[in-house]
Amino acid sequence: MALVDWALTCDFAYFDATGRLCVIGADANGLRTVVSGTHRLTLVAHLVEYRDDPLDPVLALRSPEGEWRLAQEGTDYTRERQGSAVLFHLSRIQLIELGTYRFELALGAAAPTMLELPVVVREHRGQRVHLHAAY
Amino acid sequence: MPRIEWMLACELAYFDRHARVCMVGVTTQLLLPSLPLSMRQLMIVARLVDRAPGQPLDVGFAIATPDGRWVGPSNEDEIHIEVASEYILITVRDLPFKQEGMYRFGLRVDPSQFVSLDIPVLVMSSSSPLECH
Repeated sequence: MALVDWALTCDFAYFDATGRLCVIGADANGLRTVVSGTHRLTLVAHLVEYRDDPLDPVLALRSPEGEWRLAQEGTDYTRERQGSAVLFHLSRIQLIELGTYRFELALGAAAPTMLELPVVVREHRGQRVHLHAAY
Repeated sequence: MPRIEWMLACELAYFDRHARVCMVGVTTQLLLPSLPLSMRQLMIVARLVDRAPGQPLDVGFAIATPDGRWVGPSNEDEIHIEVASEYILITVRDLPFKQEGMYRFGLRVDPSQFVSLDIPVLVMSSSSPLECH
């Protein structure tokens, strides 16, 4: 049974032409801070004790209010795997409520590996625009 | 006490303008065309946890060959260690590979913790030339 050794959230991750993992914009302190809205992000999970068995991942998102929502593969996320790395691409994820969202990832049913990756949502601040005119 | 949560090897790693780490070409093995060979650049990324803000780190880094010898580039300029909050980026330039086998990259941030990363170095078998009809 595969176990998640470590995981992170990032802007984007992909496998290059030779199957090597590339990670762009991994979050500091393992914590992603975003403004309230719709976001795209990628979860990278590194596996140990894996074989080529199917992973059967269950990805869930808990809102700051404590509500759980299961992410559906195909609609909420797409998945890629090369060897010990698994990528979960969340192309349009709504992080609206202020506070801390938590992802939890479980692999398989027998001995699930729970994983928490917090995302902090902060209030959107409008841009200040200063107009300067020449007289 | 700071400790290393994970460590990996890649072709290139850097911090973007938001101080977030980017890693290109994470690898678990090195396939080389021939030996001996001097690899232009290899980077090691380690994630630090439990480090107090501003806490100084005494970082030690070494590389062991398959026959157990500890080696490094011949010039000190060829190892560069960058520590930024929770990541350590180590750039190794012109690393000499002379034999196939398991190379061990060892990192220490605390005398009681030595973390190593084993990377097999293999020579790609030369395929016979294609016949064209």
